[in-house]
Amino acid sequence: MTAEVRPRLNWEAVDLGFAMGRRWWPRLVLAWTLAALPALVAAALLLPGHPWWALALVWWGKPLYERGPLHVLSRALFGHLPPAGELARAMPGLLWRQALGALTVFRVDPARSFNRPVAQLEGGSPRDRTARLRTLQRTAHGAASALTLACLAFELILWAGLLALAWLLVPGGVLGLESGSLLDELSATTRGWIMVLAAWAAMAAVAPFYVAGGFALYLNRRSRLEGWDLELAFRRLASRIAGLRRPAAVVLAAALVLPLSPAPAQAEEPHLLPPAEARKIIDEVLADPVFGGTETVTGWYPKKRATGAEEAAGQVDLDWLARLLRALSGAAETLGFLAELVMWLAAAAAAGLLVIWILRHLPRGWRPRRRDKKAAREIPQTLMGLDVRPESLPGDPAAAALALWQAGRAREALSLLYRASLAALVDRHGLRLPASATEGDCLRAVRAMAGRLGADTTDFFAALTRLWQAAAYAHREPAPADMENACGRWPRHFGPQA
Amino acid sequence: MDAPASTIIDTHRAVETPEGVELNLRLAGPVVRFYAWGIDLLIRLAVYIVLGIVLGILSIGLGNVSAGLFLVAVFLLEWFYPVYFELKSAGATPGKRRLGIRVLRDDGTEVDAGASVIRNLLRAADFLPLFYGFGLAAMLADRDFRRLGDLAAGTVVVYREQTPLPDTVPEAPPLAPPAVLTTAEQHALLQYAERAGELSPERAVELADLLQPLTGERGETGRRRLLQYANWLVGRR
Repeated sequence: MTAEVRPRLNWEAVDLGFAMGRRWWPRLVLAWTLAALPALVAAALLLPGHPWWALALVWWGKPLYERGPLHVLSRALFGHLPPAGELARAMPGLLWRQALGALTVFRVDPARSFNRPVAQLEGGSPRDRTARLRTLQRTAHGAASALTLACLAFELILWAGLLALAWLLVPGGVLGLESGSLLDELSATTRGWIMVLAAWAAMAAVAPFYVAGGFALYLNRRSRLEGWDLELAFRRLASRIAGLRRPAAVVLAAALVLPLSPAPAQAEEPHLLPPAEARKIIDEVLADPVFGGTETVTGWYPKKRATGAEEAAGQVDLDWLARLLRALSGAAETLGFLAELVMWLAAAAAAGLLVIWILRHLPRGWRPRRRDKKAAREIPQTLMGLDVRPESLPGDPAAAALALWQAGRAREALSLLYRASLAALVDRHGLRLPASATEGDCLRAVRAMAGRLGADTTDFFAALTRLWQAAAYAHREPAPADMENACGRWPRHFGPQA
Repeated sequence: MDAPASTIIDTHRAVETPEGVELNLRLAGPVVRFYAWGIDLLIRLAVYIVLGIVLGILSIGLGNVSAGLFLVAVFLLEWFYPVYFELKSAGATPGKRRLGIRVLRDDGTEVDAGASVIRNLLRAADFLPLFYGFGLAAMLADRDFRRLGDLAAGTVVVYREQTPLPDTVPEAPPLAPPAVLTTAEQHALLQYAERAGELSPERAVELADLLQPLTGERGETGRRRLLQYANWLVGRR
């Protein structure tokens, strides 16, 4: 299959159709043209003086031209894009079947792009088809109608666009015509035929998307009702399981019949590397230039600070300035001017500062609610997925943790201890963190509270965090001494009397 | 989004963030965007009508000033209506919100002021030659359904997160699957259970038969076994 089948919203299914229409656009337009171009020529010959009636006739026949593109789509979906010759041969058969119905009763059905695949691809008797449509259409009918309306609008947009482009781009004076646009100089009938040709081109451009949109809606509905995506997934799973079992088939033959013991873990854990090996791989990855490294930058920089001579030169310059100022200061106006300048500069600086101050402080006045909301965070109930409500804990967490540890369940023991610490911090010390906080965030917040908690407690919490992270994420069990130490010291720091 | 052109046609695009997290962008195509635009157009027209009536009454006192005010309002609304809503309500104008789509930058981040202004000022280019002709042609031709403004601003229009499926697994006595399953496989089992009511009974059994290597059962028993696994997977014990 060349398109991704998965349950989609109807809108998304239409979009998939548009993606298909884009991928196979040339072939789909060809398939449409094979029927639509003869229709246009026939209409022109039939009604040479009435371009608009001819257009109406061609437009009415649209359901017929759409059968070719649908044929292409149904083959292309499974990897075979029919070449032009094959299409031309298939065309007569496609066009004649149910042509009368398509041009009369079903021409006015807005969901024809969705209904056509049922008739053309599934076949079956008319009564079967009606029943089948009823099952399939439930939610798709509205979407298919919306698709028809949108595509009509797209045709009009492209039509207007083509004409406007021609009107804008064809310069005056072409074909010996004087000023003004080309269209104005032509006879009404010729103008009409130009517009009809533009309309036909717009229809040809949109048709692949329209047919593919309806086809994708149909596909989506069927894959949803029949579980096509499930079938693919199940086949993959079955062949994987069969592959797993084959080498040990004899041993497992009996076990297959008996209910097996539950698998220990459902998570994807292909293999866990020992920390030392993992460290080696991490170092290798970090050695990649992408992650930094050293860079040599060459350039000219002053070797030492300004020497005495240069300083002296500066002095000379200042003297010159001073002499000049003294010379100028004789005039009272100059002094006045300078004073005024200073005053204005000061005023400008003050105004600037005022503006900055206002900008910095006003928004706070404007949006008081938002800040309040931030300040009054609710008491968190879970942190890092751990339940930190005090009532969820056993009476004496330290003793319970020690018992778990002695039962060989080190991770659960540490989890309980860490969770109980968090609960105490939240409940008694007013720790406020969003539920999305990480262990690191939590530790930083606790360190920030060191003044209130005492350095001792903060250090204990930091050590406990490290133990918990090692156990939870690296699957490293704590050393027995660490664990006993943690359980023993816990009540002093986070126990009820602490 | 310069993902290599894959042979499988899909409207989803995977985007990797600098943190190495993979985001799945579900691109929205021309049809849904056309309707969103239509809703926004109706909203603006309603505003113009109300404004026209109010300013028309006021013009008795204001004279030509009210016509000027109306033109200013039209200018502001036409150019900045989308910018305002895209920045204020998570990349969605009221029309987009109604249809469940929104604007994002093509790296998956929220649209910012610069991108929003660019993509909406370039509506002028998309509008050419008449009624968004170039915009429509660009959307139909682009792999990611972007109009010219989107191409210039580096934005895409995507569906907001929505699960099209009911997410209740019918109750059955939970049973652990006899083999370790990957996430995708667990997902397929859950989907199967969630859609149990939608599949025809014969088809449900047919699908369950495919998993005979896992269940060791055929027919109705196999189907029930799969429901039991699904119950175990959602955490019922």
